[in-house]
Parts: sequence; structure tokens; C-alpha cells
Amino acid sequence: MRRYPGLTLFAVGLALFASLLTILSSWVLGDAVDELKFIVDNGLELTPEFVGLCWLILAFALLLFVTYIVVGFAFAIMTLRWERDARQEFFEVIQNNSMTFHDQVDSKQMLAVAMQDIRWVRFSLNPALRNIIMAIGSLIIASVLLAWIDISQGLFPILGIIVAIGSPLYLFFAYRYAVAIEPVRRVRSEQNEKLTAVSQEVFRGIEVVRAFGAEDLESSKFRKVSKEYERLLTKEGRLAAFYIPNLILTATTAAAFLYCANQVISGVFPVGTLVKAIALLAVVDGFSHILPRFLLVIRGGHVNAQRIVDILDWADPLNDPDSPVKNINWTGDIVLDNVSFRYASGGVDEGPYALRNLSLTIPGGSRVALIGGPGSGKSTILKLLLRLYDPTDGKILIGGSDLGRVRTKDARAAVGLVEQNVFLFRRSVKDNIAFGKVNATMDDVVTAATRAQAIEFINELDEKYDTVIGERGMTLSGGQRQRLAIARTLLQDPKILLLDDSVSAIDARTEFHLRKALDEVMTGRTSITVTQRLRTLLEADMVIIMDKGMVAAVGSHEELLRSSEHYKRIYRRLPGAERYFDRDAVGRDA
Amino acid sequence: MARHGGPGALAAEKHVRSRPLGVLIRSMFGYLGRFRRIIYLGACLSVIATIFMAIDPLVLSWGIDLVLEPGTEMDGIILLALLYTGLKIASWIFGSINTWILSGAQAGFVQSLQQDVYDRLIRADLSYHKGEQSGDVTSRVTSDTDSLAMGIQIIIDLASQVLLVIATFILMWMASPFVAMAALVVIPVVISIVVLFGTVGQRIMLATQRAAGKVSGQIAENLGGVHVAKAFNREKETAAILSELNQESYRHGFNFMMLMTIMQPMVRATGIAVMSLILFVGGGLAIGNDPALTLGQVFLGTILIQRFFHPLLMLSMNATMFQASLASMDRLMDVLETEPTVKDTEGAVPLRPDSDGIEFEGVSFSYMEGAEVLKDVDFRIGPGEMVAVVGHTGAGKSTIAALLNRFYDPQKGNIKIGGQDLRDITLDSLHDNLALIAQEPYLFDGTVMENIRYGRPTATDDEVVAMSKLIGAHEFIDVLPDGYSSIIIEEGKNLSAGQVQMISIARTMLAKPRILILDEATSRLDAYSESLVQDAQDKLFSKRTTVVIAHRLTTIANASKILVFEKGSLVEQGSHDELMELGGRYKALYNTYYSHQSAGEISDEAVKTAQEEMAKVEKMSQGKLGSQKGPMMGHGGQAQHDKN
Repeated sequence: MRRYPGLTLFAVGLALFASLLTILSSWVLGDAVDELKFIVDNGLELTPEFVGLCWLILAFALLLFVTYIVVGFAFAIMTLRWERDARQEFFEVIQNNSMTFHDQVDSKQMLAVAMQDIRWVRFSLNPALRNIIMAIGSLIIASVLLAWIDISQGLFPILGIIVAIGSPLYLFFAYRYAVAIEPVRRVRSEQNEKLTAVSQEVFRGIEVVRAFGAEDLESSKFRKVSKEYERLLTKEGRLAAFYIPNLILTATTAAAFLYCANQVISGVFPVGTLVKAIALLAVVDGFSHILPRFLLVIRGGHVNAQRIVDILDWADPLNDPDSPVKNINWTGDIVLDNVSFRYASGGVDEGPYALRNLSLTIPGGSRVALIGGPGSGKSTILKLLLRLYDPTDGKILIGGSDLGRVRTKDARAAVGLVEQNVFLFRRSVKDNIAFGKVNATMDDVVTAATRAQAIEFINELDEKYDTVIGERGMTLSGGQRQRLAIARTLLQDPKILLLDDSVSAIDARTEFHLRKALDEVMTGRTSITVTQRLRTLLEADMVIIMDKGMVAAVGSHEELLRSSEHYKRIYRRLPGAERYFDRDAVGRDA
Repeated sequence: MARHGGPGALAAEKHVRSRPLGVLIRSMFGYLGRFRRIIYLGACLSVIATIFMAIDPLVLSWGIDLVLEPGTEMDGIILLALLYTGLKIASWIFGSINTWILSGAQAGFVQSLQQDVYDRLIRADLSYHKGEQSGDVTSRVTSDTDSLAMGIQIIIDLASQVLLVIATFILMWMASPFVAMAALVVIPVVISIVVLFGTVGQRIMLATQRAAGKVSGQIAENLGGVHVAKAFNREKETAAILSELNQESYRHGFNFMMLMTIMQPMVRATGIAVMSLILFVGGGLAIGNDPALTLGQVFLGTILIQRFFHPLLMLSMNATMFQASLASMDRLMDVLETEPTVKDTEGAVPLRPDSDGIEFEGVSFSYMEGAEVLKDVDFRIGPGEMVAVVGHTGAGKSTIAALLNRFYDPQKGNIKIGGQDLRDITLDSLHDNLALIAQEPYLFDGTVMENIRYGRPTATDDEVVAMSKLIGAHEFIDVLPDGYSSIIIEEGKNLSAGQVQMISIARTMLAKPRILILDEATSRLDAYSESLVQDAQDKLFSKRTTVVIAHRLTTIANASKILVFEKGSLVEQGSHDELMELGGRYKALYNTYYSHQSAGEISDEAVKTAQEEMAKVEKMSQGKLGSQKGPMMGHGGQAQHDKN
């Protein structure tokens, strides 16, 4: 709205004009009744004046129609544009927030804010604000006109006093109702969301529920939530009963009727004035139903706006440096200097360390294998190198430059990641591969797919490169997804490659393909692979064993087999297990 | 994959009703159940309130006529004012009591309906859930029940609205039939508004919802892949795609809002225009020597016309909404009238404590007619035995797990546990004694502690921690930001795939089932963690019947018996050594699928085999084999076997 001050003023002015038209038609009705009385009293035919007044009312109706549409048009443009831009901006802001944000906030909640909350704020501007402007405008104009009836005749403004008492009281009680119902409505809609969440979750995990025979448990959980919803729904509904403003309006109308009737009998007012008073109050009555509803929406909109602002105000711990380092030697050594890291938790307490006092040097161009159990900190190292997070303590140097002083954009251009749970977009195979490089050509895509050993299965898909992933049950196996991710990364051509290769249990042919694809993608760059693939361990220049956020041992496969009990223990457990086959003698002596 | 749209994003799509109108309306009242009386009472109160409301303008018009009579005293006027106020207050009180009563009844009705539908769905056949999106199932519970409540409200309102329209028309007719006839001019306006909204409006509304659904789906997907967009510096592109959809949604939203905006002035302007018309007609009738109308009646006509027009419009608009309620009723009846086929049979007894061991007798099963997943399967697993099930993707392995859990009943044959037919065992006792670790682990929103405890709700915190320690999950849970109280969101997006699987394993092992079924339960774990889980399994379940759908060599080697499946048939069974000796399908499968998981040298051999197979498959696929399933290696394995 602030962006279109002229338009806003124009629209509000026009809205008030529309209210005026509605009111004036009632006013003219009174004049017409007076004219009619004159005709009746004098036994005349319908006078041109009377017919003219009828036409005037009709003209008001037409003018009102046009004005209303113009008002609606102006409001629609302003508020819908606001909605569109706010949604876009909201998304862009949260997208730019670092992963710390995305780890903590449920994306369902963010989606709800982006869609619902922003829509409700818009709703509170249009139609709510638009209608309230018109309703209150009508009330004020009607009150002024009623007061004017006495004043214009030089009388003590009794009608003025009646409306001066009635209108504020009316508004006060309408507002009080909105204030009372707003929190109930809010809690009720939150409860409704909860109800949806509870049932959706259970239906999604229905097999688990069924397998543990937990139907009764879930049913009683649901009952609790839905009973609470019932209570709130009842409360909200009952607040609407005994709506006091209607009584005030009745009292005002009765008082105005008594006063005017008395004046008519006394011969002070013509009968038309009585009609005017009643008709004006009838117009106010017409608005009285929408007023509380929209007052409520406006108050609610304030809460929705607060939710949006709260998310937008999130202070990102990861910021681009003011004076970024450029010309970084990405192929240089990677040094972790006393790095500690902990993930921010949603709560007040700070979580435990995921990495503790980690110091490591990875020579440029080397192949590194990273092993360790869940929670040992393997993936955290990869995320830090991608600068998805900054270390809590210590720093990471690449080719001598502090990664914390590198723009995230530059870091992510030079560092590539093939994740464990490969995320593919609901787009075509081609678009998913091309995601690695801006403006990638079809040739680029085919070359990358070939190098990543993905071309064979792509050609077997119904629509080849145009097959949309995730559509009509189109799913890919883990090995296929991984090869698409490798193709994507090959297009990106990063200097440092991070690979979370924890895929297991694949058949020999897939293994063969993957191995070739991995060789291809590792060539000519520093690579750090989280793995349990025996071959990768054997071929690595350096194996790092992680344990509870610390380095347990570092060295080549042979060195570690000799020196590290920890490594021997893990190695012995690797699949294949010499326990059953005597081919590998190395593991046996451990 | 990202989830798309909210529940009911497209719920307004046209729904073809499968039941006749009468049946639907009757059952709508049928479901009122214990709320029926109170809702009838509400409807009566609402009718009384309407009667008072219908006559209050009459009082005002009497007043106008009265003041025009010469020699009127104020007494009469005061009396009329009191009458007017009395009528208004009475109408207000009856209306309010009605609102008060109905709010409670309606909310109660919605709740009991929700509960019925939910209870029904939670016990519905899994084949139903497999065929539906979970979002659609949820909207049965939430939006359809709401819509039905709205339908009830509409029916209650219907009584008072019809009454108001008729009473108002009669009042006008009594004043003058001409006025009443003139009032009918609003009918074409009402019809045109309704038609406009029914046709163009409906289309615009659907398009608007669809466009908004696309925006919502895109945001959901972009948020799901935000780490990928970040890793590849493509934030700008995802924003641009959204911007396009957003603009599209704006365009449709604008059309929709203009439609709504036109509606309001049409109603108001028509209200004023007909007022002018009645004034003119009434004026003509009020003059002359023998006037048909008094001035008060002319005024009455201008007020009554509004009371005629608005409820008439509401009635017609409600008709559209009522259609939606009927569609909801139809969908709800689908749910409420479907009896689950998998349920406790009459005379079902709990699983006997001595029942153990599993038998499949001539079991055939298909999810869809005509596509048999299991064909005439016979096998027997002794009590306390550990059996491995192997085979290619699509051989029917997971189906065995599903049938054992009685997620489905087989079309042919019997499944028995210790001689008791599965269908004669109560579902509760079956699920208490038999537990499955599924291939796709699913975690609920909630803390890690709650998720593990789901396996046995009575377990103490210490027992949960002890179990986690035993399978090696404690180490990573302990270092989560809030330890065991860490909240799992979105099925575990804040955990690694391996961690999610560990938690689901802890959950099942905590349940301490007598019979354990593992469906590739450790496929996402690193080798070391897997071995810890295996140790725990050995310790806890060594003497219990265990069925393992195997994906790793180590599991097969531990099994006392191996069942080899191919395309739904059990083709070989025996111990590892026996089957290797046999030199059949198992050996081929073993060589291509399992042996390369061992040390390096064997891998090279496997790779060579694989290379040969690849050449074969490629040759085949050039010919005709354009299967979408991709490079699984059913044929390759067969080829290998033939060569051996």
C-alpha cells in the first residue's frame, strides 16, 4: 500500500464516495415520500418532481455500481500485487538463509506462512479493510446527516445526540466482539492445523501404526486433539450469539422513530424526515453483519503479519564477508585448524559439539576417504567445506585462505557435493543434470551423463532425457540417482569434490558402473569421500577415521592396518567379511 | 521427493457423485445421530426468530400511517415503538439461543464424525491407503467433515430463509399484488448472478486454486531441495521459476477477485434500483381518489423488497455450496460403508504362547487383479529358526513380510503361525508378537525418545537408552542438539538416512517381538553400525523365529535356511553350502549380487562377470527391452547361471 500512496488515497476516497451514494439514496427516498404526500394531499397526478426523484435514485444505483467496481479494481491491483511480491520476497529471503535455519524450521510451517499467512494479511487489506472503510464511512455519514436534520431547522440536535451516543457504543461493542473472538479463532485454526498434521502423519506411516497394533493408541490421540477442536469451535460459535451491537441499533432506531414521529405529529417535521431517519438506520443495519467479521480479519491479519516478520527477522549466523578474499587457490591444501562445531538447537540450550578441536591437513589433489559411524562428524566436515555453516571455533584454510572470508557463492562454485540421499527435482532428467551448470547445452548434458555411466539407463527410460522424475510413479533406484548426481556435479566441474557415498547393497553391474563414474569424477581434483567401499579405501591417498567428532586416526590403508586398532576393527567388519571367505588374509590377523 | 500442494489443494475439483440425491440427504440426517433433537430444536428457534423478524417493518409502516392520521396521540406511537423494540429483542434472543445451541451441537457433530471417519480409515485395508495420497485421505477427516457440517447449517438456514422469502412476499401481496409482482423483477437478477458464478465463476475459481496449488508445490519442492540449490549456486534460478508461477497465480487471483468485486455492487446497486422501482409503482398506486396503498405501505414496499431479494440470493448461492456438501457426504459414505476385509474374524483367538514357526501353504497373492506377485508359495520355518529370503527386485520378497503382518490376506492358500491360521488370530495379538523393520523407515514428528518408545509404550527412558546403546545408536543420539529430546521433523530431514534407520530398528527391537521380520533393515547403515545391529540381533533374537530379507552377504551366511525367490515363485531353498552345491539360481545370484561385497580381488572377478552381462543386456535392450524398470539384472543372473 505504501508503494502506491496516490492510488491508495484515490481508492479510499472513492470507497467513501460509494458509501455516500448508498446513504444519499435513502435520503432521497425521504424526499420522494414528502413529494408523494404533497401529491396525495392535493389529489394530483405523479409530478415530474416525483418521477425525477425516482430516476435520481436509479442514477445513484448505476453510479454506485461503477464506483464500486473502480474501487474494487484499485484495491485488487494494490493488494494482490502486494501478496504476489510479499510471497516472492519471503521465499527469496528464507532461501538465502543458511542451512542452520533450514535444519531448525519445518518446511511445512514455512510453506504455511508463505501461502496462508501472507494470504490472510492480504485478506485483511482486501476485502476486510475495504469493507470496513465503507461500513464506518456509512455510519459516520449517516450520523452526520441525522444530526443535520435538527440543525438545519435550527432545533436542538436531539437526533444528533441519539446517534452520538448510539454510534460509538455500537462501534465499541463491535470492536469488543472482534477482540474477544480473535484469539479464539486463532487458537482454533492452529488446532485445525494440528488436527490435519496428526492425521496426515498417521496415514503416511499407516504401516508402522498397523505393524505395532497401535490403532487404539492413535485413535485416542486423535480424540484428544479433535475434542479440543470441538471445544474451541463451540466457544467461537457461542461468542457470536447475543451480539450486543444489534440491540444498540434497535434502541437507536426506536428512539429516532419516537422522536421523529413526535416531531411529525407536532408538525415540525414532514413525514419524509421520519422515513429518512428510519432508512438511514436501515443502511447502517445492512453493514452491521459484515463489520464484526472484517474487524476480526483485520485483527487476525496483524497476528499473521507478526508470524511473517518473526521468520524474516531470523538473524543468520552465516554472512558473506564485507571484504571477501578473491583469487583463492582451490587446488591448494585444505587445512582444518582446531575446528569445533555444534549445530544450533531450536531450544535455548546449546547442543553438544559435532566436531571437537579438529586439526587436519589434506594435501591438494589427494583422494581422501572418510569413515566413521553415525554421529561421528563425517557429514559435518563436508557441510563445513561447502560453507553451509561456519565453524563455531577454529578455522578452515584452503590454499592458505580462510574459508570464512570467502563469499558463499565462490565457495559453492569451487566445491561440489554428491550427497547420500540424492535430491532430484520434479523436472526432466535433462534439467536435473543441467542443474550443475548455468546455460548447459544438450551436448554438455549428454557428455556428463556418458561420463557418469548414466546414459545407458537414461536411454531405457520412456522419454529418455525428457522423462520427468517423480511423475506417474517414475522412480529411480539409489544407484541411478547417484549417477545422475555425479553427472550433475561433473557439469559443475568443482575443484574440490565431496562425496557422500554410503550407498550399499548394489549389484555387481551397478557397482561396476559406479566405480567407473567415481573414477571419472575424482580425476584431477581434491576429493573427500565418505565411504565404506573397500576399493575406495584401498585407493585412497589418505584415510581419516572419525569418532565422536574427533579424528581417531589418519593414514593410508596399509599404515592404518598396521597402526590403528580402530581401523582394524572397522575393516574387519566391512562387508564381505573374511570370516566366511579366506581370500583376504589381511583382515584375519587383526 | 518434495511433497506437493497442501491437503485439498485441489479438493474443489469436480466430483462425480455416485449416489442419488435422496440417499445422500437422508444419510446426512442419519449421521446427525444423537445431535438430531438439538438440531431440530435449533431449527425451530430459528424459524421463530424469523417470524418476528419478518413483521418488524410492518410495525414501522403502521407508525408512518399513524402519524399521518390527524389527531394521533403519542400514546399510540409509543406503543408501536415498544412493539417494534419487543419484536426486535425477541428475534434477537431466539436467534442468539439458536446460535448458542447449534454451535455446540455442530461442533460435537463434526467431532464425532471426524472420529468415526478417522477410526474407520485407520483400520481400513492397506490396499486403500496404497491407492490414495495421504493428503487426500486426511482431507476426508478434515475438510469433508467440515463441508458436511456446512451442509447441515445450510439446511437449517434453508427453513428460515424460505420462510422469510414467503412471509415477505405475502406481506407485499397483502399490501398490494402489484407491488408483489413488481418485486419479482429481482428474480432475473438473482438468476444471472447465480449463473455467472456457477459457470464463469466456477471456472475462474478452479483455475485460481490450481495456480495457487502450483505456487505452493513449487515452494515445497524448492524448500526440500534448498541444500542442492545452495550447493550449485542456483538460488536465482529457483526464485525465477517461482516468480513465473507466482505471476500466473496473481493473474488468476485478480480475475477471481474482480468477479467477487463485481458481485457486491451488483447486489447493492440492484437493491437500490428496485427500491426506486417500488417507489415509482407504489407512488402510482398511492394516488387518486381511492388509493390502493397508504404512504406507510409504499415505504413498507421499499423495505420489504430488500428482505425478499437478499434471502432469495442467499438461497441460490447456498445451493451451490450444498452441492459441495453432498459430494463430501458421498466421499464420506465411501469410507464409512466400506468394511475392511482384513479384520478379526468371528471366533478369532489370540496367538497361543506356544505358537511359533511359520508355514506358507500354497499361497498366491496379487495387489492388483491379474498381476500375481506370489505364486503358489510353500515353505516352512521352524520355531527359533533364522531364515534369509533372497531374490531380485520384484521377486516378491517384501510381499512375504506384508502378508506375515497380515497387511493383506492372500487370495489363495494359508499362512500359519505354529499351526494357527493367521486369519483366526486376533490382529492385536498378532502385532504384539510379530514385528517388522520395514525397508523404508518411517518416523513420526516428535522426539527421538517418543519414536523409539512407539515400539513398546510402557518402556521406561532407561530401557530406551539401553536399547539404543545395544544397537550402537546411543552415540549419535547423545550428540544430537537435544539428545533424546531432539525433535524429529519431516520424517527425519534433520538426521542422516542411517540415523533414521537406526531409530526405526531400536523401535522394533524394543518391542521384543517373538517373531522378527527384517526387510533390508540395515541397507542404509555403514558396515560397522550394521555389524553392531547384527550383534544386537544375535543377542536378542537368536532363539526367536526371524525372517530376514537379505541384501548383504553376511546375513545370508548366518541363516540356517535360504529361500530363493524369482518372479513370485519359490525356486530353491536350503543352506548356503547346499545351494552353492546345487549350482542353480542361488549360485548365479550370489555371484552377481553378493560376492563382490567381499574383498577387492573377488570384486574384480564380479566386475568381469558384470561386464559380460552388461554387453548382453545392452544387446537385448537394443532389440526390444526398453523396460522402464531399468537395469535390474534378472536376465543377467539367468545368463550367468546358464553358463555355469
